Amino acid sequence: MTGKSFCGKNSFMTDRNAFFRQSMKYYIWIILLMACPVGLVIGQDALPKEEWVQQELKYVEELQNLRMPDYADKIMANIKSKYPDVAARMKVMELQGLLAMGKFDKVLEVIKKEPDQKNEATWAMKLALGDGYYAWGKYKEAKEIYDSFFAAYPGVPPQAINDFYLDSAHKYAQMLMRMGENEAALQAYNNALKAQMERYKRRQLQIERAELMVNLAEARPENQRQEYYTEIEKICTEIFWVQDIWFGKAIVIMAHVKVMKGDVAGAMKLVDGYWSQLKDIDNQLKEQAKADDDAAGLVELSPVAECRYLVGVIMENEANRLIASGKGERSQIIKLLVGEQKEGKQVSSGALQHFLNAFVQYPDTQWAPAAAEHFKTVKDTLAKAGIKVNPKIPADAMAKVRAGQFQQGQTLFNRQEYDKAAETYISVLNLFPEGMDSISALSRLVECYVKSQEEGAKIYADMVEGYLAERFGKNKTYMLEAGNQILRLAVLYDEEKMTERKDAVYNLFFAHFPGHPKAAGMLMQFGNQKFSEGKTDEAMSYYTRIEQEHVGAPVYASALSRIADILEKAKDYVGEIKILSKLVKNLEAQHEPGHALIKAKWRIAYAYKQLGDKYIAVAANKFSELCKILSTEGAKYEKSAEEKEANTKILAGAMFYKAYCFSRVTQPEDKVKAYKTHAASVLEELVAKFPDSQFAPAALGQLGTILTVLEKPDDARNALVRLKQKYPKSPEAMNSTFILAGNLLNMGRKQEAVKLFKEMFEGEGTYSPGQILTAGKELLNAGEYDTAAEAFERILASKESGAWQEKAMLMKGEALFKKGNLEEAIKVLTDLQGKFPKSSGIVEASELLSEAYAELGSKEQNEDKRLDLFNNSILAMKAVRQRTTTLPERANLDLKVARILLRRSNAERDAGKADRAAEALAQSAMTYQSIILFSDAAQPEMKPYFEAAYYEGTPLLMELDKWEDALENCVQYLKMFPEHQHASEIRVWYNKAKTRASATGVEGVIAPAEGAKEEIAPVADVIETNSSIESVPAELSPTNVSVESTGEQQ
Amino acid sequence: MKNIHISSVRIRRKMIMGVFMFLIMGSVTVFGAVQGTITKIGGDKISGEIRWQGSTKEYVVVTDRFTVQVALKDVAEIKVNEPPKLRDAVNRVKTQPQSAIADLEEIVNSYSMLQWDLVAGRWLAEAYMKTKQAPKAVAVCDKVMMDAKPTDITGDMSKIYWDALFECKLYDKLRADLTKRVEAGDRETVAIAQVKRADIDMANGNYEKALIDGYLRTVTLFKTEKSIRPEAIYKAMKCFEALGQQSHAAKMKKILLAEFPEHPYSKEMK
Repeated sequence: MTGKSFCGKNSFMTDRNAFFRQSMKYYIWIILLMACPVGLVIGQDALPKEEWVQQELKYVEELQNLRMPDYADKIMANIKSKYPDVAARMKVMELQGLLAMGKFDKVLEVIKKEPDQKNEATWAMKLALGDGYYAWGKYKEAKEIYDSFFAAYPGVPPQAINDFYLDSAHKYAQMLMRMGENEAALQAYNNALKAQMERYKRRQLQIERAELMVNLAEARPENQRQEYYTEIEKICTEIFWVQDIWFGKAIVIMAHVKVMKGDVAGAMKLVDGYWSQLKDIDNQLKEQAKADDDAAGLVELSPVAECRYLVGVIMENEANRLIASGKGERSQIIKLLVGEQKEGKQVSSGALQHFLNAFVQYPDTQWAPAAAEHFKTVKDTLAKAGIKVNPKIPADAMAKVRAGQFQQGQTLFNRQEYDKAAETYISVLNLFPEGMDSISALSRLVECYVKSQEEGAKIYADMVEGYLAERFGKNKTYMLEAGNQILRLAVLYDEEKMTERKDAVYNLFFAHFPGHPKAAGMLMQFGNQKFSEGKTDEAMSYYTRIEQEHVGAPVYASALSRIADILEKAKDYVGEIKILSKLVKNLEAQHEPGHALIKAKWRIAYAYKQLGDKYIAVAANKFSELCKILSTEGAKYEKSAEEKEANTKILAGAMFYKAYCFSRVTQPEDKVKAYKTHAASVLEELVAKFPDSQFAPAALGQLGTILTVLEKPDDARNALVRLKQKYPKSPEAMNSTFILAGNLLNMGRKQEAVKLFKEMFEGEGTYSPGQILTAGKELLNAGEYDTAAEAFERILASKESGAWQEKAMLMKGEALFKKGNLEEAIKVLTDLQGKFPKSSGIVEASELLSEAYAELGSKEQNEDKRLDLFNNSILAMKAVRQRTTTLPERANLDLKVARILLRRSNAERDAGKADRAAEALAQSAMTYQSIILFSDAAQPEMKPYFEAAYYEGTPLLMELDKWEDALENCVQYLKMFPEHQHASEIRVWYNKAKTRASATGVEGVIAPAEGAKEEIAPVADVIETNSSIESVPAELSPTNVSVESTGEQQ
Repeated sequence: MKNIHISSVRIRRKMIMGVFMFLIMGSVTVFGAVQGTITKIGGDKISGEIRWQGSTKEYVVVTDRFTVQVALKDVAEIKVNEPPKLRDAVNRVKTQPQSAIADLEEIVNSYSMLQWDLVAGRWLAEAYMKTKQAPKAVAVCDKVMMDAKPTDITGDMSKIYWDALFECKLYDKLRADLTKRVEAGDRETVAIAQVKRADIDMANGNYEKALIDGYLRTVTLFKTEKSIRPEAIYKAMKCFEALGQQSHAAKMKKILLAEFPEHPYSKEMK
């Protein structure tokens, strides 16, 4: 066996960090064992100054290591007050406190202020900074400081900085090994050994150095290793003088060297020869651990585990070598792998037993996981050789191993050594990938990465989170625990204000844990949160997941109800009905659904009502059904007094709307009267049965309306009288005429409604501006312009008009315009523009104003006034254009401008002004053409405007003798609208234009055949530049054309 | 009396059906029938000429004395003699894949759901892949795996199937299958599936996703899956390089060279 074969991937020397973990533990134990009893027995005042200061400083250091700077500060303050002369050391301690919190900039600032950058005190501070960089994984920065320091002190360090020197050199060596720079690490160890130190520390450093040299030797060809071997043997010989844990380590290293030299037998002999001493150390550590629970960790330092592992590896490799060579005897291989049995008794151990022992007896050591892996490979090797072994690992032993291994990671995590904890967890998780403790370890591993300062650690956190969710989310055994761990991380991120991570991890939970008991509740919680924030789309996505993935969950019904709320708000009544039907089905399957079922049915009926007259009969039936249920078996749906009261309210409401719906049914015609009569009787019943219901006054108002329609004026009046008597303060009573008119309007009895509205202004009723506005609007729509204008005037005169003034002015302007009172309309609308420039009705007002000016202009005989009026008309339209946001809106306005210009042309022509008429005609034609040329024909919503621009503009081109353009327009029109009703007319124009164009030398334009369809290229493809409206130069913009012309006139 | 009458009618119908089946079974040369033994759940064994009937998802076994149908769900194990041409055809896939295709196709058809179709299918898929006929590889894998028990589909077979789907750019189908395996497969299959899934992401330029859900996960948490490990490390390195994270890429390179110094990926980098 060669050294190379041993030092491959299975080498027991590969994990350097694990060894340092042990060293650190040892170190801490020493501190505890030394410091605690002294402190307790002697007390601080009894100690000499230096010793006490050392002890206190050590305490401060430990507190800082534990990231407890506040406590450390208190101890330091105490030291300072007692011995002010130790200030320099204290300063370093203070910096260490800052470094523990990662405040590097602050430390650099402090160091920079030091007057002498090369004195020992400053170097101590710099070394503390280097140590800080190392602790936070900033190796590059740390290396710069360490290198410059050791360059400054090539020899034995001065006494004043001895401790810093030693500590930094040791840390530097560890860091270099971590970075894979083993040669440099060896030099750092050599530096460290130049310092003064206690004997145990020197032995520790020497052993670490020897172990490092083993690695260095492994990396070299066999003929270049001797210098290391010599040095290693020298160190180990020195270590052999004292039988402590380093003694055991030295034996392992020596055995390893022998294996590397090919002396396997020598290695085995060495271990065998010292086995009793190794066992003694092992026993002592075990006894100590047994006697003191706090010292349980000492067993981890036992050299036996490592020795067993080493021997196992030696035997396994030897067996593999024999198998590979094909020359080994079967019995020899078996002996190496499983030991030897005589008379049924095991007389020697093989690799299998050694690995098993290292694994089971020393579950907390770094060798256990590797031993377990080797145990498996040995079993595989035996199986391939046809040998079945049945080594029994007791379940409790295995559990202990698992627990021990995971505890290693937890201990490091608790010490906030996150990078080391992560390494340990990964090692253990590869050994025990699936189990309850694996899941919590995965969660801790995520935390390690999140808290790690190493660059790029977050991607590892994402990776582990994803694995945890995906691998265990649908696993029946582990899903619950995995989901809980994911939620735990979410809470942690929330506490740490890591919103992005929190959201991501919740999304993982929702995506991978549909079966988790908390999933539905969490979705509901998230949905409600978004709902309360008004983010209905996001809320909907959560509720929908419950609807689809958590049928039957406790929150299922609530989620459906919320979805229905959102759909109702969006006026998606069809969707609302579908969801509510699901809700009803779910509630009906419940033992005692109570009021919830009644409410859901009520909502369905109401949604049908909201769908309008097409579904009014269905709504009527639904309300009828509800009335029947509540009247006959209402008790079934009342689990409490509150539910009973709620159901009573619903019954009253259902009766009201049942009547409302019946009163609106229009088919079959011969039954309409009967339905209305039935509606009236239901309303009477409602008032009689529930006189105190909120629906009772409205029912009487409704009753009055229906009876009016049924041509029972006396009964109708009687109903309204009852309304005023029984509910005098109700809004219905105070506005009975208005309500009656409104109800008539709703029933399609417009004429009767208008009549009543007129009465409102003649009488003394106290109607609100909103009611008057509504009435005025209806009167306007009914063509009652004078009365409507009177209504709006009444609002404007009212002191309470407030917010209604804008609308009243606009509608008054419209009423006056429609009445033909154009000057007055212009005045009112101009006032509106001035008074409410930001009014939502300003666009409508401006358009009306433009129309009014144009209309006046058309009638004006005075040339200059006519021009002014048309210019005002176009300016009003321009004001509207500034407020448009979409292309269709702009195209629509441009069409209107073109039409105004055409009207002007006609007016000029009628007035005998041919030149001006031609000029306006040309401007109108240009405006139409601008729509055609500068808009995007590919947008479907633009098509109607294109069609209008072609159809209205082309005759103007022909009138202006622009035959080529007219011909082109006709061709394009027929391509775009081959089946439009104007197509045949356009064909006539086409032929005419073609003939005229040919006469002027334009050829080659072929009209598509009738009915032919051709995809129209976007205008952008046709026009080479400035194809979009946004890019049209200002001087070509349609509205500017008009203004320019007016400018000329002025 | 009524019950007795009904029972006798049923018995008569069954007898007629039995005779009918006998005539049908006996009158035709059965394609795809081979000698073998079916072990039912519960331990009963039936030996005879076995044929798979895909339309009803059951086996038809013709013994010396009777013909019987055994539903797939009732079958614990099926043992059929190895097809004579199989071993030779498999050997030829390695060196002359084109020449093996006809024999393997014949075995896949003749041994449908009779143990050896999976083996032959796996090698036929490889032969197709080697002769640049990825769509055919997908088709044969779909065919032999359609009714097979998930536990009978080896990681090896899955890998070829996924390679074929990847080659055909059937990414959605591939991703769905891979995700199913990642959620519930054994560790080796999971590791392979993760890497293959990451290949899709990498092909689409989603390097970070490829790392998080695939390569890096496999490198870090599936260290014992040695068959796929070098590929995962190598591709993780490539992704880190693409993301400009050179220090991580260097770390991956170091791991690859240390653990698999002789692997082709390592040799490529030396």
